[in-house]
This record gives sequence, structure tokens and C-alpha cells, in this order.
Amino acid sequence: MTFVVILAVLIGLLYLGMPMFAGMLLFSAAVLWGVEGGIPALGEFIFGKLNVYLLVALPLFMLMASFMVRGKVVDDLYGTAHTLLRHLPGGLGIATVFACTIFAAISGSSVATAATIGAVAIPQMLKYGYDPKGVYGVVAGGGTLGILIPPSAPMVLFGVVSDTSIGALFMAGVFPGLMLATIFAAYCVGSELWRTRQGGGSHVRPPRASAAEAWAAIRKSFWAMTLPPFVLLGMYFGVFTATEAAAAGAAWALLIAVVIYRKLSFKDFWESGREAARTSAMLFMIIVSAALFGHMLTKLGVPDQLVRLAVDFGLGKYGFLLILMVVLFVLGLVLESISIILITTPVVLPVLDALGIDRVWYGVLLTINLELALMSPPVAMNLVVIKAITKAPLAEINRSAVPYMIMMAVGILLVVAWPQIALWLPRQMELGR
Amino acid sequence: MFLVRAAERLVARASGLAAEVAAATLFLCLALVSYSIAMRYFVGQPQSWIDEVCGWLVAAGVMLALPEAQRRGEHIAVDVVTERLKGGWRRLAGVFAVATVLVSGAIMLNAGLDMIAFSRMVGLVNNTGIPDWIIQLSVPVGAGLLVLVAAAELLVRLSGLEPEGPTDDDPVKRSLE
Repeated sequence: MTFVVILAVLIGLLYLGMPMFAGMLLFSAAVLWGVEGGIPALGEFIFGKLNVYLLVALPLFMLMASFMVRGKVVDDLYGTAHTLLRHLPGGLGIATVFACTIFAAISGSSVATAATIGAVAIPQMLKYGYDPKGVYGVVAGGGTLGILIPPSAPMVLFGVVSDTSIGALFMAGVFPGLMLATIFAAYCVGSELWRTRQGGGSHVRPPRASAAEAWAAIRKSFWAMTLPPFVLLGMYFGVFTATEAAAAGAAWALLIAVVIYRKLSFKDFWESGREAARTSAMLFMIIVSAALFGHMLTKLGVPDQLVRLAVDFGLGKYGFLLILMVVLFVLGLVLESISIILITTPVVLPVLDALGIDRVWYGVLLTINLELALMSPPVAMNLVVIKAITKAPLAEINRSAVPYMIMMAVGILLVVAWPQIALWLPRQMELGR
Repeated sequence: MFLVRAAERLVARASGLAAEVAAATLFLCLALVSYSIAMRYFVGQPQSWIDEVCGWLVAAGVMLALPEAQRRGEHIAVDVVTERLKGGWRRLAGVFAVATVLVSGAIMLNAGLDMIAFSRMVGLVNNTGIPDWIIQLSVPVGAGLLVLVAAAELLVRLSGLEPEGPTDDDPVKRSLE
């Protein structure tokens, strides 16, 4: 009950428009002052939360993505997918999912994935007569893969605040991400076949690319496609830790953009650093505030109350997880993803541990749920991106996202029912918590 | 009005300069971690000090980029309600938001100064032999700049003006416009 009241008050305050970090910091500080009469060693607390080596991974992954985008290395990604898959029923939809999957493995951001791929894919699909509702949906859905397929900014944040191996979280996101991509692609094919059978008219299917055309397309995107295996295999074989993989990935991206593509100017290079620094400042200050929020909740005994509640109700592992997924979905309707991770994680961790729920498993489920949040109005960032690209009515875009939200909910249920979908890969690498 | 704008621009210069230093700390992190990998694999000499230094650089980078993120209005906020407000209510919401940042910055500045005073008093020194207070200095410096940025923005808003904000040349944002 205490937590529900605290959460309601906090959300109410945040809706007044104050920056998340300031709202959480002031609210937590006020409660702590009320309960304890002050916050001892707040300066050391702030510095201690920022002085963490693991945090370096996030800005370095941002640099990696920025070098690839500003260096125009990823510009041909959609073109390549288009050339290879255009002849299939729903081919451009599949190409969009494919391009989103590769871009997701470069960017770590869903909004950037939807914006970058959507800007190229949407006009192409509309040109070939695809149903606009299907077009918006596939970009919104495919874009969300950005935070599930590693590297993933939310996973780094969850790993830091929950003291969970970021490498294990990244690896655990690979198969669920590919599973969702496959489901989305299958839906593109199925919906197109169904539409044709219902006499709804088919889109134009360009001819299959010749071998020479396909080879030329692959060569155009070859360097962009080297980055995901470089980073992921580096971590898989234990060559790099997550932070080192971020640095190696950024260095590799810089090399490709400067030496091979020669399109990254010094201005672009420096702007990448400025942007990554500001974004990191914004995210990491929320981490500091959320840590203070977690400290305040602990002082009030909220995590203990929740553990007792879960045990008293006899919820068990699966019952608790399913209820938690519903709560996260509801929070996704009113808050954006970073806040959800940082507000809920300190509260649920003791319950997860008490019920024997693997933190890596939960991290993946949380991330898929955050993908849902990116498509749930009113705080639906991916839909806002599509609105900005297409200027289509938001109501139409919202409707187009519904099938993909259902597929994601199915994805959550599959990962709940078969945790091995997420946990098999990190366990192969002997990466634990 | 002229003085208000002049104060805003002066503070913008300072926060912009701090953001440049923050970007430099990030590139330094990239160089150090890359060097660390190279030394471990090619020379067989792990450089454990790099982990510690990167932690300091992250703390410094975050605190120094914080004011510029505020000046550019980039901090995450739930604006579902406030963006629907009009006229005086909208201005009031803007004033309230920046006032909360000002108070947060003041709390962090005070806490940062206390921390520095304590570290100097006790004479804390870390593993590398550098006094702790030098590394911790980024907290009060960044928080102090945040207070200045927020105060300037508050002044601008209370004068009935809108903050000048950044001249953004971000290609992703441009593509969405």
C-alpha cells in the first residue's frame, strides 16, 4: 500500500512536467528529510553512483551508433534488405524487419531504429502499394527490437542498477529478439497472403534480384553488417567484457566510417561525443535519483512489504511474474521506459530473489515489456516517430501497432513459459548474474 | 530584457564549454579502454588502473554535461499534460519545472561542497595517490553550473521571454522535422 501511494504521488508530480531526475531527487530527499531528518553523505552518494566503470559502456555504445549513422555506413542497410527480399509476399515488410534487426544490433535504441529505418522504408513500401496500416505497424514493431537485440541501453541501465552481468543480459536478448523478428516477418507474409485471398488487392511485387544485383547490394552493406558479429562474437567468446565490447565496437565503427567510407568529418566526430555526453548525463542523473528513490523505499521498508505480500498470497514465481508484467504494462502507459526500469527495479529485486527468479530472465522480460511501452499511447515514442515521418493521423498509427503489441505479448508469454529462450545462450557462455 | 538575454548567453557559453570538456572525457575513455584491450592482448600487460580512471571520467563527464542537457531542454520529462497547456498555465509549468531543477542543483551543490570539505579535512587519497577531493570536484562544479543555467532560464521565463535554446544540427532530429 505504501508503495502504491508513493508511486501515485511521484507519477502525479512528474506529470507536472518537471525533469525526471529532479522530480525523483526532490521527492526522495523530501521523504528522507521527513523520516530521518536529513540525508547523510549525499555528495558521496552521488559521486559513488556515477563513479562506476560499467557505466562507460553506455556512452561508448552511443558513440559506436553515432559513428555508423553520421558516417553514413548504415544508409544502404534497407536498400540491401529490399533488394534481397522484395520479391516475396510482404517482402518489403520482411526487409524492414531485417533492416531493423541489423540496425538494432548497431544502435541499441528503438527510437533511433524506427526513425532511421522508417524514414527509408515507409516511402518505399507506400510506393509499392503496401497497406499504410501494415507499413506503420511493421516500422513501429521492428523499431522496438532496438532495445532487445544487443547492445541495449535499457539493459545496461538494468544491469547497473540490479548488479546483473550486462554481458549475460545482452546474450539473453539475442534469441528473444530474433524470435520476435521472425514472428513479425511471418506476420508480414501471412497478412499479405490473407489480404490477397480476401480480394483486398496485393502490393506490387518487384522481380527477384539477379545474382549480380544481390551481390552488389550485399557489398554495399557489408561493412555495416560486420559490426554486430564483431561485438557479439567478441563478447560470446569472452574476448571482451561488455564495456570493452563497446569501446572495440566504437573503434571499429570509427575505422569503417573514416577509413572505408570517408564520410565522417571531424565536426561529426566531435558532435557524436557531445551528444553521447549529454545523453549519458541525462540518463545517469536519473540513475542517481532512482538510487536515492530506492534508498528511500528501503528506509520505509517497502521491498520487505512486497516480499511478504508475494509470499502471503502464495503467488509463486510464475504468478508474481505475470502480475508484474501487467503492472509494467500499465506503467508503460504513463511513463517512458527508462523511468520504469529505474523506479521499479529497486522495489522488485528483493521479491525476485526471494522467489528464485533469475535476474537475467527478468531483465529480458522487462525489456520486451518496455518495447510494448514504446508502442502504448500516450507515451509511445515509436508511434510519435512514425507520426513525424508520415504526418498520418495518430489514431491510424495507433491501430496499426495493435497486432505488433499482441505479438509482443505472445513473446512475453513464450519467454515466461520457456525461460531457456533467453537463458540458454548466456548459460552456454557460463555468464551468470 | 537586454541584461536577461546577456546573462543567459554568458551562462550558455560556460555550460557549452563544460559540455566540450565532457565530450573530451568520453573520447578519453574510448582511448583508454581501447589501449587497455590492446595492452592485455598484444603486450600481455593488463592495465587495471584504467578501470578506476574511467569511473572518474564518467562522473566528471556526466556532471559537466548536465547543465548543457538542461539548457537544451533534453532532460526526460513527462510532458503529456504540460504540452496541452496554453498561455499563462504553460508558462507557469515551465517556471515550475526549471525551479525544481534549480533546487535540485542547489542540493547537489551543497552536498558536493560538504563532500569536498570532508575529503580535504580527513586527507583522503585514492589508490593512485591523487587526493579524493580533486576527483570529486566535478560534482560541485557541475552542480554549480546547473544552478546557474537553471537560474538564468528562470530569469528568462519570469521576464515573460522564452529560453533561446540550442541551434541544433542533429541529422536525426532534422530528418524528423
